[in-house]
Amino acid sequence: MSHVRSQIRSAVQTALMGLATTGNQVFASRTYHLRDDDLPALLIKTESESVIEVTLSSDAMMTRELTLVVEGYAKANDALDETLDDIADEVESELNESTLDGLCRNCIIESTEIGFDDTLDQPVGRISLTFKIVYFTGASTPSVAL
Amino acid sequence: MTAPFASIEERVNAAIYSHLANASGDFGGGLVVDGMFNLPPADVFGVIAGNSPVFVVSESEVVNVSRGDTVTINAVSYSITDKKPDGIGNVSLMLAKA
Repeated sequence: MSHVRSQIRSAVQTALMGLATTGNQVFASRTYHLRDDDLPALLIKTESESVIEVTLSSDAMMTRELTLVVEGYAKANDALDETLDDIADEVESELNESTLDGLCRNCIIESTEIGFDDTLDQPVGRISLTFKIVYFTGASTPSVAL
Repeated sequence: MTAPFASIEERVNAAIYSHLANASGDFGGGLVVDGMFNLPPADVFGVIAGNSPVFVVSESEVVNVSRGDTVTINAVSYSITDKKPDGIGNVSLMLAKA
């Protein structure tokens, strides 16, 4: 069984499949670049995690605060701001206050960043939604969510 | 003050376009200019891959062309997002698909 963090990433990917703007273009890991046919799309990244030992015992309970980022990408000449805001609306509606099928205590959005780049043949916009996910595991059982 | 290399530069530029021009850009209003059309690969945000179209032409031929104008190259319509002169008679027109 995989680390709970990996299970969370998979659960987030499942939750974000089929949204109105991005459809099934949801990727939890990419080894190659996205192209026109892949857009608009969501990329899921687990950036960092802090761990606190809650109980002092042979198998301590660990409180884990995971920083998970959902990046939405779209490419268009017009209404790019609106498309990115639509993406944010759809993603936040799915993830905010979710327990991800019992894997976590809570998932809440912490920040949003928006950026644009017009290097390519059409402008590309990115919206980065950073979520804090709190979950628990045993010290020696990181693959089991408590 | 003389500028002895200026005329040489002009002749060299003309020769470059006569040999290396690979496309004609139709700017509308009867203005058609031959130049070098490239689609160099590029990526943004380290994630999205694509091309960054650019049309290099003689600066004197597009004096009245401005950012926001359109040009059709190889049956594809582009809008001009930037004009980047090189200071020696050429200008790179940065393009976005219209």
